[in-house]
Amino acid sequence: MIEAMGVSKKFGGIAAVDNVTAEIVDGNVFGLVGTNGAGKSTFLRMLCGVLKPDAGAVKIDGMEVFENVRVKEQFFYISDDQYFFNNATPEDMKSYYQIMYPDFDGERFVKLLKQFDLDQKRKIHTFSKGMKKQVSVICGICAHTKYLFCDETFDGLDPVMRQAVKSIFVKEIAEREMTPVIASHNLRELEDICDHVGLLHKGGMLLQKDLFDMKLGIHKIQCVFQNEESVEEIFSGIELLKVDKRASLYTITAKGRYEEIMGRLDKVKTIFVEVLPLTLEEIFISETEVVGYDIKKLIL
Amino acid sequence: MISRNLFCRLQKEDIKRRPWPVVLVFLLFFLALPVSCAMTIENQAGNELYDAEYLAQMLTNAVGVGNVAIILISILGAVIFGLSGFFYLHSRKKVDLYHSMPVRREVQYAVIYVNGLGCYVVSYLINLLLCFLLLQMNGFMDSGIFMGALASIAINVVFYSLIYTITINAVMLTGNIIVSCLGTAVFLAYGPLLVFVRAIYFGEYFATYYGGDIDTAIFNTLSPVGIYLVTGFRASSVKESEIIWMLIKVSAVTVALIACSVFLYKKRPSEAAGSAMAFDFVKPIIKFMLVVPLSLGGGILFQYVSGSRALEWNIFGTVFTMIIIYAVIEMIYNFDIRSAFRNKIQFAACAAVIAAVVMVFRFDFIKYDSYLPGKDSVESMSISFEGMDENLSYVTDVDEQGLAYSRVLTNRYDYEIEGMELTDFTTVYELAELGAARAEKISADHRRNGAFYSNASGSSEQERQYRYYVKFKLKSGREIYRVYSVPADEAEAMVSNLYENAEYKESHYSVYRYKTEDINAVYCRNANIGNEITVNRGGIEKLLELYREELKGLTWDERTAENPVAVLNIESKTSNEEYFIYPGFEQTIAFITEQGLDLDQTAWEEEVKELKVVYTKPFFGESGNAATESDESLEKSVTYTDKEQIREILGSIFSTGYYWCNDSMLNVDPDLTVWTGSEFSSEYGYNEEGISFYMNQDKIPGFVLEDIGYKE
Repeated sequence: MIEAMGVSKKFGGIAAVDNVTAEIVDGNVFGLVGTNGAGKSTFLRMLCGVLKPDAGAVKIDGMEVFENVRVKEQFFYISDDQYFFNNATPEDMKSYYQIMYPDFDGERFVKLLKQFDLDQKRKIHTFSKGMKKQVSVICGICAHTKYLFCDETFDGLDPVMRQAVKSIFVKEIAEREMTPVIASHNLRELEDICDHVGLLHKGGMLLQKDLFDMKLGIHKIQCVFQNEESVEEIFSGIELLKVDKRASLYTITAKGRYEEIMGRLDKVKTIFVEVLPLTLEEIFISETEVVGYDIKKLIL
Repeated sequence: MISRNLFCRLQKEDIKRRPWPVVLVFLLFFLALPVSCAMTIENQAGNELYDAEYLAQMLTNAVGVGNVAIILISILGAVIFGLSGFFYLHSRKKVDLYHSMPVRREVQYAVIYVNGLGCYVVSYLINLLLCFLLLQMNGFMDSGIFMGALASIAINVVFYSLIYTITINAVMLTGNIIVSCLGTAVFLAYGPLLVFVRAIYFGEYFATYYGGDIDTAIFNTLSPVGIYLVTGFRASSVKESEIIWMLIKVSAVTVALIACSVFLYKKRPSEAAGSAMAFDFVKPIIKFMLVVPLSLGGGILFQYVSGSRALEWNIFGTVFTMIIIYAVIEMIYNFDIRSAFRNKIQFAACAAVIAAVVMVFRFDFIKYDSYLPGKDSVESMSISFEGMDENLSYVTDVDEQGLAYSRVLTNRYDYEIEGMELTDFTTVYELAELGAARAEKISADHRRNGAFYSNASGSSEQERQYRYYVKFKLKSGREIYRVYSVPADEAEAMVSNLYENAEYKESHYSVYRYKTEDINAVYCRNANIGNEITVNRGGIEKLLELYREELKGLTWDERTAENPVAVLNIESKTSNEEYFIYPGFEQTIAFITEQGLDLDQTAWEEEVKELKVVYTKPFFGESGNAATESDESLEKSVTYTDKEQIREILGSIFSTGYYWCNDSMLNVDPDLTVWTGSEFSSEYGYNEEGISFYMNQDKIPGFVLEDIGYKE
């Protein structure tokens, strides 16, 4: 388990991360979202022991991270702009990481490179930005560490590659309970993979919740009423987050117990009722409004 | 505990990351050792004047201590390896990679440090082995070369480590490649910079400042490059124990610096990558340490360049340099030209310190010129005069083979000041009192006029001066150095008194310290006309015994009034000095005459048929420029053929050689010369005008004064 307790970090008087407390449970995919400058990278760099917090503590499996080799063996960090040695090939990087991570899976590395159609003898500096991201993800996966810290890793990957990487993550999580921590400024990149999300804003953690729990309280329903009805009256006493009407089709996002919302609809005559999956954005709109923020101003 | 296997694998990876310094240093060693030796052997083998001993010496020098090329490679290699090893600290991308790896920082440091040292040593050893192979194949390899090479390895590796570690410390303190390079330059050159500025200020403001060996000592201590060069060049001529002690001290400093750099490495924040300085608390310290001496130096520079050397230019230069240096440092710190004058309090602090330093010098608040230690606190003193016995060469540094090319001519004043320890120093103390009183008066006059002092004597051009260096060695162990200038007539009696002090004479003349077995040869020549003999080996001891005895009895009046009749040239293993033989040295003259050199002056004087006295008037035109050759009024000459007049003139002359070696001591006007005429030049090989002499002003015959209109 990863614990950040009251972690703060300032750069030249500016608080990049301010008193952040977070808990990342093993086996979960933790999404760290926030705008540019929200403190995601700084937080990740503290999680992996590159930066020393000015205040608070970062612990992994109960051990302080900073300058702790035993802890560092447990994770692999993919920075937003991963460094590859000058003139290095994927093969060179493999041999370096094999020294650093004793469980590094060389065979899998070669196999994944082939899957991603990457030449292991080609110099990395000749790769495109997306290809470099792929190499860094493959290195991270093959390091076979318990935790994988990814900073804007999906940025620059095309949708096919993004999906491929996500499926690898899912496989790893299923096979060996790998815990990825993925920082991104784009909610949509995370919504189909994360099961726990933290929202950083101006160095502070606005919220941190289990996605499933959040989804339980918010529901998106599409329906067509037989007669003209007042939605506000039907759902009186229930918080409506969004009501959208196109012709006679209503799309209603409401906050409350599923049974109660559906019970209200049962009381009126409907031609069509369907429960739609919620996007992460919709969930966040609801959650951030609670703490007084407008999500549309914070993230995409 | 890290395994050896992992350590070696990390080393291999590190070398893979930066192969170019390894290749560069290896190639430089290859050129400096095997290639250089091969060229030396080939050049000498094809030389008609092939000298096996000389070649052996050259080869020993090529692989041994003091090889300039190896010293330069070591300095360059240390800087390159030091910078390249930890350059990753300047890049956020690289820091993110290296510092997220499961490797302790101490291990990471050790891997890089050992690689930087190891690559240098291995390159050095491989090329040295190639060199040995080459020498063996050509039959020049011997134990002397081998031992020299071993000593060279020890010295070079120790100093390489020192400079390498200093460079690493510079990288640890900085966060940017350019700032790291500047930091390294500052660390390597800060000592000499301080010494330079200090010496200029003391020399400019204080009439009695004498840098002497203090500056050299500071240069040696504060500059790793300086101490390396001095040790490397002097290693073959000083005792082994001295070198070993030096290497131990340097190694101890290196170990302390390694500990310092490891500490900085551990404490260094990763976010420092890309910024100018890694630690904020260092910024004002570095700034202060650079702004103050550089601004003071800038002030003096402007003052020198101005020509008028006025105080105003110094103030302008100081302020101007301070503003520029301060602004540049702030801009480097913040990478922002608009930040040039941030931290106004620090700016004001620098300005205040600089102003205080200038004031201290300007008004001599420390009473530097007039200061004299209490006589009771002095243990011994030494003194050395300018323009007195300049013929004493004081050659000290000679290699074992005594080969002439490796001799180093030591500064005579430094040598005398350091070597002499007069316990009977009453007269020297009086001379110091006289000098201090005069220096204080002159300095005060200068300050009243608003001008700086610059080692000027404060006397008119015509006034003969005694300029002498004095060292007070106090009972506390402290040593104080001063230089004084006083009018000759005021100090004459004291100097005369000092000259009769046997302790002074024995310290001043190294002839009293020679052992006969150390002397290679003694030559003797007529002081006036140049005939020369070599004193036979058996007679050297007797001759020196007679000379020493008669030199002891020589008075100041005699040596400033009489023209020497002969010159002894004593060639020893460590020096080559000339000693004058005065007319009163009867026993010495008799002995030399027995050896076959006729020193009878009357016989020579009889041969002189005519003498031409030439007086070059110190004439300056209305414009203030010196008169030209075409100005007939400039030079006046009178030729004498009368035997009596010639005898009288010859009784008042000093040989030019004697005057040049004692120009401060002798009352001579160099504008007044005497020439023997051309017949002497053909007989004795002098120039067409014959042999020239100067005249003792106290003895110039009246008819000469009248004939040439001397100083009309």
